[in-house]
Amino acid sequence: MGKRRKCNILIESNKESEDSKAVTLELNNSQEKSSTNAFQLLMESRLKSIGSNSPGKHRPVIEPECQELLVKRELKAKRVLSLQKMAEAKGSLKNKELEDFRDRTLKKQLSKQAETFKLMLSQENSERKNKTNENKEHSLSDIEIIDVNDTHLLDVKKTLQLCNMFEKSDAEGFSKKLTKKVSTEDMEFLSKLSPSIRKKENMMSYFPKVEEKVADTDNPADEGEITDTIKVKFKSKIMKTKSHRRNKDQKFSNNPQNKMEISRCDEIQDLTKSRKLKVSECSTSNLIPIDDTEVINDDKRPKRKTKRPAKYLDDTKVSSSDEELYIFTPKKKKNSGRFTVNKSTLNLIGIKELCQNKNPSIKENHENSQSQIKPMKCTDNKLINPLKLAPIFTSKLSNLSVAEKEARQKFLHSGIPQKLKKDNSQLKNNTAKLEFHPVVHIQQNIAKTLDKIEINFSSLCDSSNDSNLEINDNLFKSLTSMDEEVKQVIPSNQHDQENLLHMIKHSYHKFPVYRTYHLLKGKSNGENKDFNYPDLDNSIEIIHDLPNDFDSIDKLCWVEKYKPTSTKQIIGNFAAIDELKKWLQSWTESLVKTKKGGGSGSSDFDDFQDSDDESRETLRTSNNVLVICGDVGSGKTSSVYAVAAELAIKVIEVNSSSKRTGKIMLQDLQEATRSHKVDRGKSNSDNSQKLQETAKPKLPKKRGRPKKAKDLSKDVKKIENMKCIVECSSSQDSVRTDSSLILIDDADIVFEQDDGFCSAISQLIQSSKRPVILITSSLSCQHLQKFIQLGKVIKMHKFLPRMSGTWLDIMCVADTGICFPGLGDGLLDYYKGDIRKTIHSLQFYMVSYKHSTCENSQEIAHDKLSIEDENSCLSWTDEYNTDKTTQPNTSKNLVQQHIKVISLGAPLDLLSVWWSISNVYESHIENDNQDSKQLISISNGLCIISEADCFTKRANICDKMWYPKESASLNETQSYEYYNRNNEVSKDIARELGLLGSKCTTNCKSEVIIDISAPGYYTEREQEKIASRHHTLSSYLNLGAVLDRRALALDYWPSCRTICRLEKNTLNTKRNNRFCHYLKSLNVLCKNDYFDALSKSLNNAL
Amino acid sequence: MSGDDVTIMEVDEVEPATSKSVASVSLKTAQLPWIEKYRPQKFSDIVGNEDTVSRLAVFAKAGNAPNIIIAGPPGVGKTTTILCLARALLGVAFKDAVLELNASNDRGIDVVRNKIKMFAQQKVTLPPGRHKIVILDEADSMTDGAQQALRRTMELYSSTTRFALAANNSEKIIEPIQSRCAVLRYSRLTDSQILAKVVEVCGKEGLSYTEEGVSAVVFTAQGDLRAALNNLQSTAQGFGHVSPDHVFKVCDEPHPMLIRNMLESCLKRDIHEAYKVIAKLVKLGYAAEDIVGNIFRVAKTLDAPDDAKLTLIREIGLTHMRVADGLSSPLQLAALLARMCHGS
Repeated sequence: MGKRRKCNILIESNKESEDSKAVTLELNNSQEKSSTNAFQLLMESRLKSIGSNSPGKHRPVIEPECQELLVKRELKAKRVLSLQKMAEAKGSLKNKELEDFRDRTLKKQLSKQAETFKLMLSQENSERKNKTNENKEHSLSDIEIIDVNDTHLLDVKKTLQLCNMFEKSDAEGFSKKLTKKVSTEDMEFLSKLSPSIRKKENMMSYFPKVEEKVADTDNPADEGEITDTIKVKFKSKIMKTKSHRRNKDQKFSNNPQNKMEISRCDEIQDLTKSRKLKVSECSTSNLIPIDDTEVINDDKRPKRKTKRPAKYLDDTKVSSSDEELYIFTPKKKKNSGRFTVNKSTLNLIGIKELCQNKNPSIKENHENSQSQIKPMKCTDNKLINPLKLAPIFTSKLSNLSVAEKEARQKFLHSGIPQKLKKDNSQLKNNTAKLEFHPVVHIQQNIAKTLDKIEINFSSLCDSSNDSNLEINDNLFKSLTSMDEEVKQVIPSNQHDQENLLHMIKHSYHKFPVYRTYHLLKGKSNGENKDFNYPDLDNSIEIIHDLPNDFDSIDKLCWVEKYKPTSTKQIIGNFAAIDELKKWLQSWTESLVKTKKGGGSGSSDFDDFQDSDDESRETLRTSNNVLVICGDVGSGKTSSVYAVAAELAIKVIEVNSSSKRTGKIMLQDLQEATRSHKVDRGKSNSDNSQKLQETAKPKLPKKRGRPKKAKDLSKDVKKIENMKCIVECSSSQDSVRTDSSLILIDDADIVFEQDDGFCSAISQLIQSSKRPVILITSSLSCQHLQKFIQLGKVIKMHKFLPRMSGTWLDIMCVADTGICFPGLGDGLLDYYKGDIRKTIHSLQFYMVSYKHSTCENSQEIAHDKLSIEDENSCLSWTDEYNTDKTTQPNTSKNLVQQHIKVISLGAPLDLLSVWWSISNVYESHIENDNQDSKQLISISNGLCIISEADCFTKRANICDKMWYPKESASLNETQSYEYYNRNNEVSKDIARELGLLGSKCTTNCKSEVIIDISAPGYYTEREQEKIASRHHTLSSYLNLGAVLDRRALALDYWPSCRTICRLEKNTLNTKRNNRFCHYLKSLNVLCKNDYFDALSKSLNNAL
Repeated sequence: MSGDDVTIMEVDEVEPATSKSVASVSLKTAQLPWIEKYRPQKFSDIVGNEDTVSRLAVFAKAGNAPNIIIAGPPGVGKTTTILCLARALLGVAFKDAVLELNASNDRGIDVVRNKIKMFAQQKVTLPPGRHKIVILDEADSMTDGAQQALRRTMELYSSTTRFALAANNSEKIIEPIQSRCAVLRYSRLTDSQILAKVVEVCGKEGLSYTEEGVSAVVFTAQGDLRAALNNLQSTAQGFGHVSPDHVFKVCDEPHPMLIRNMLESCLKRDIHEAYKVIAKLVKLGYAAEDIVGNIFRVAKTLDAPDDAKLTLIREIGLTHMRVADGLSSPLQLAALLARMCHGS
């Protein structure tokens, strides 16, 4: 007894001791009058918030209606049951079941409460055990239910209540115990969204019964919503009490502790609930019945009987005193009352979950719950009276069980005038959700208008799915090959490295295949990293911060791994690189000269600096600025590094990744140029020492490089690289350590914040004793103009696919052991000569391919492979041989497929489509002149493409070719076009049009396949050629004619072209005359050399 | 360092996958939106683009992946792939060795020059073949200037740091950046792939659904799995049951079946029938852009000869251009109908 009391007090003190005053107030107010007042207030507030849905209409009707409906309910319940069976058979209507179960437990609980109520009225507190027995008799149905599901129910309740109390911590346990799919959150969500659920049920089952039943849940669910808002505060308190409880329980524990706790939780809730009932309903506030209800509630669970006696003794005494009331502060009451409602719904969900596997029990439950309602009605006459107090709810929810009404009433009553504000706010929340109904209804009407459509819907979906797939398949089959095919074919090309090299060699005789292979192989094994080291280490970033660890060559990507370390390894742009090298060499030589003149023998830089007045003069007069320009990925930066490494010049790099205001740049560079000698001189000289040592014994062999012994060829490669350095170091040893060059990367990129960049460069050029190299991707950059004029300009061109492709193939072999001869070529073509991009994608592609297909590629020893064939000294010029006949057909196909795989999904390039359509046109002209139908279709295709072009860019694709490609802009503003949805759609439309259009065009000529996917470098070069031709042509025109683009496009070029076409077959002699006529009419200055040039370029055109 | 904060912040939301305790996982995942809840954690779970994904999986095992750009339409798993790759490569070190920046982060020149560079210079101890990863999500929304500032950083620190970029539109990424990466292209998911995933999620969530409802979700998604899951979730939470009318109520699009009927009547040159539909749609308050967009989507899948389809799409494109320019009056839609009837 004492324990119990303590416990209660503890709880109370923990929970809301400060509300004790409110409790007493409430007790006073708990008389009928005050409660009705509260109710009225509540009603008013509710009315306000609800608006026009006034409950007044329904008020008189309630009671008879209620009974009628209750009679009906049984029938309906059966129907619902059958429905449920169907639903279960379907297995898809779980949510609905949840709903039903929620209803049921609600009813059950409410009925329990009603019974306790009755007991309260009829019996006295002293005869507790008798009451419980009576209770059992009265609520036979209840007990049946419990017996049926006894353990389950308990379990469920346990877990679920725990969930409620400790939502966070126990949710997981809950989910474990009930192997359920729906998480607690979902359930809560369901309870929150009861209107929508109800709607769903309306839709799903067209039985009126269901609607009503679901309607019943409306209010409890609403209450649940309200409690949700409160819970936040509430939870923590309960948590505390719970922990206290746990301590107490251990003293009690005859039963397993879990159960104790749970039962206690139950007790609290039941207590509060019943208490509230009492307070609101009973005019006389006697304290004892509270305990009774508690007892009864507990009694319904047979298992708890054991612990009961002790408690009950406590309770009686406790309850008799006023202290007990502290527990039930008004706030607490309200909360807990709602809480229990919420809980009950959750309980039902839980039960439902449990019973899904046990259908019979569900049905039993169901029946029980139905039957349960009837006796309730009969017995609880007193409870029916209060019904009239809550007509609002009944107005909306056409029929309510007595118990439910009571619950609602309780809800209303629980709203105490003092708390009205709070309630009002809650109700507003509530009504916000209630107001959702009208909207939903409107939408439903819309749905009805679409009813006939829905019937057809499945057909649409199916067809859309199917047709989608089919269309895609067809399109891709005709235009691009699907990757499945490729997958099937690819593995067939399995050769060992030797064969592959043979093939490569065979396909391109002039290329030093094996030499390159060994070089690359060495690089892949990290043997040449010595050469990587110095130049990379020289960049300014690295001076500033991190030490690079080159310990594991695996860490490098291919671009780094295989980058050239000397000029010999650079393929392509030979002239440009020669020029660069010469420039640098001459520069260093001049430096040496001045140095020797100034103070010979002194390697000390400071001395040099002091004594160089005249050398500065010479530097200023001599160009010490070099501008390298070239496209992206043409190897500008890496060739500078390679040349610098070869000449053993240190590179100080300034790039756009760091801040480049004039101040910072000058500071950094001047510091670097002064201090480098200290930290770099030693290591470099050490390095050179080593190199010399290693290189010297092999120097004689190097001379005989072309016909080298097999095992030495690798070394030869090395030596070759070393040679340069050795030469440099031997000849200009002192210079080598000191010299450095300033490399300004991305010189065309100057941000607004980088003010003073240009002036800093010019200052550097003026004052510095070092060569300055600017790297830019466009020459048209304004701020660079003066440097371009001042210094020398070296242009780098893109790599030519043929030769570099071979090199790439060899690289693949060297690294992965597999390759597809020609793939490098094709890919480089696809990426338009951008070798870095090609290497990157090759790395991605080949490595993944290697790992996915053949796990163990055999490594062939080097000596086996090095076959003497290096007779062919490649003439390092830009010429390239276009005999493709040697390439095997099969591998060509393979390569094409590979490229298609890589390029799959690339955005449609309308320019290329347009370009290839014109090809179709021209081939068509050659073949058959008369078929106008095909011409029409081709023109149609062109028309479509122009439209598509119009939809996307609102710019002329054909213009693209004629203008020089400008480098990327530097604007900092974001383009919001990115977020425009319309843009997406128009792009889609254009793409679809392009595909369809080209398909239509190709349909007429099946043998010509328009190559949409891969524009390629070849075609681009071709385009460029034509563009340049047109540029030269128009350069002969007077300015007025050039500016008049319309005349140019419509008159001049086409007529020239036709003239050429016609003239092609005639004799050369007459041609000039005809041109004269035409061109004179165009006001072209008629000089002879112009005509010659024109006729020449026109000749080339065809 | 400033780089650190970001990494930690970004990583937190991914954390539940790696945390061991079932408790927190189930709790956290239960609160997540479905797109997060069902975001694949392994390569094998990623839907679509199998070829590319399997290749990336190889790199996840072998390490030393090159810089990559994944380009593709929204909702096909670009970010997911990158996160999977990073997780597979770095494992426990994910927190320290990943810098993730998306469009919500400031990614101006200063950030690139300071934060990213600092991160690239940081030293993190990683197993051989592994690198720090900088993830730049939605890289096409980076300004050109920021991209320019990035280009040399990507190269210089390639021995320690790799970049993974995701972008919708690879054209918006400047050529130099593209040149420093392997560009992987993702295509739209096929409807069947989305259908399979949606059905799977329905099963896991215990949803009640009809075949038509799920197909409606697939239609509204248009190859965008994220949109599909979002639509599915909102339908499920709003109505509890996935049926076509629910789906279209949630997504609130012009009903494709109506439009399909309209197009069919257009092909039959029955302008009165067709106009009824348009009038209804306009009356329901749909914007002209939405209507035209949906007409296009339906027309794309229409079961008609190519020529007819082509003419339809041409007209639709023309109208869309006008509507996008601001001429969104119903008259334009009517004119579209007239031209479609005339043309077919």
